Amino acid sequence: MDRKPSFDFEEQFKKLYLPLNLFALRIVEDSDEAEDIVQQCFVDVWELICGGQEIDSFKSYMYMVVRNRCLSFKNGATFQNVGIDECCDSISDTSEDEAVVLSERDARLWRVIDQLPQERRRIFLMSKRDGMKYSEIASALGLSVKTVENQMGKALKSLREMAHKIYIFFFG
Amino acid sequence: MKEIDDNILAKYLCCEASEHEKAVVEEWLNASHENRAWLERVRKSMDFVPKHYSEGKFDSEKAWRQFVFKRGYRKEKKSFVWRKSFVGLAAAAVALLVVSLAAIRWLAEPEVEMAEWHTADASMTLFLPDSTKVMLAANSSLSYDKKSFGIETRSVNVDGEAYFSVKRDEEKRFMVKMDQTYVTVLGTKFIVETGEGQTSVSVESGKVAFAKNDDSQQVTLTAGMKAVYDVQMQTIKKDDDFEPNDFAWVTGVIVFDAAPLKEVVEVLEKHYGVKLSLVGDSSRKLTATFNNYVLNDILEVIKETLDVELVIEK
Repeated sequence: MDRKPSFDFEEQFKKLYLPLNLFALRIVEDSDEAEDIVQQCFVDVWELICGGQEIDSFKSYMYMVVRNRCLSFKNGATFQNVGIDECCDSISDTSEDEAVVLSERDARLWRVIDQLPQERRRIFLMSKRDGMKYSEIASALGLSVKTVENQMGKALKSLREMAHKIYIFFFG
Repeated sequence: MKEIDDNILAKYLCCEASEHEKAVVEEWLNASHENRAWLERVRKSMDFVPKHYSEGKFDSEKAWRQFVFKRGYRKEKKSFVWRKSFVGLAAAAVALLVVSLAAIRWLAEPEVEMAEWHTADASMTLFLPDSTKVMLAANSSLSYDKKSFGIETRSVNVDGEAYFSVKRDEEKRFMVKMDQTYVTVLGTKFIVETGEGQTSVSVESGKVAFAKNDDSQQVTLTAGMKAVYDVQMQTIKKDDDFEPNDFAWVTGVIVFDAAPLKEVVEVLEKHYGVKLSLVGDSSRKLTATFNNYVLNDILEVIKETLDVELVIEK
């Protein structure tokens, strides 16, 4: 535990944590399992770094490690103690980048939902998570359909604003 | 992006749009590739994320705190404090440890040659022949038979508290034997603690089997789980209350999350081997992470933030 990484591990951890979880979630389809896997991967990679392992691109390395662990978990292998060195030969998939971009987009939506005012979030989740119709939500919450419609519109607006900001950031 | 009414777009995504509204959206989509691409992207996330969303899940700040407690990660600026306390600890260890490496001949089994370690009031780190790392807490003992260790199994005896980081070897099971129970693993990290009337096992990573000596009861524990054996009831129970501070003496990181001061006092007393008395409002709660602090600094922080004084009893 002597070596310290040359980059800010804490910053990278916090930045990659949510997208990595959503990336894992798309594979294992269980949020508790996904979170367990991602946490264990950070621990393993941290130990590798402390052991002196050089890692060129931390981000793509983390995605690869998480993906491999998810796959071995799904294949029924006990994922405990599957060494990183044992499972890292398979970096080839060209759609990998797409999956990463998708996870980052998922993460943005997650954050947008996180930041919605409570009532609006509730309505949004009743619609998109629970699959309820506007009219069902309205009667469940004792609101008018028009209110539900407005709240859903505002939720979508938050998402579009977020997307717009990112667009400006990259191309503006 | 050409403007479109968000309510109509939301309705479209929720299959609530009327024929007229659908036409409005279609027109907007046809107006630019970008609009269509955006909607497709949104739909992909929208069909997936909300289904799994739950408030407070995937919290990176919380996960980072857990990671820090697990790994004992600290930033460079803290290392001075840490070194100071480490030097103190090492000195204490040298002064106070009674380390005896004695060969004991057992009457029944003359081939047995025991290696033993006993600690007084400081913890110590040792390595077993298979390079498994053990941190033996204060007032604890560990022993193993040098002749049989690593031949078929790797077996050690523990009385007190010990943290194991077991070198993986699937051929040779690692076993920790306690008074009435034992633990078997292949390669993992965990703590065993034998005490008055109970024996507990806390697992940091990997998988551990915790069983009674007669194998009449066994539980399997994975990362973050804890089980307690009750000597009186003679039963093993999984304990959901995994205490983050169970590993504090290993990592040096103490975490309080809205902890009542009574609990704070208990944790600090155990960690620093002192008696504390409380002056002030004992109903206050503390949320803080102390990464390898010396005790006086912690007491100072508590005094500043909660206006409660904890005094070390002489």
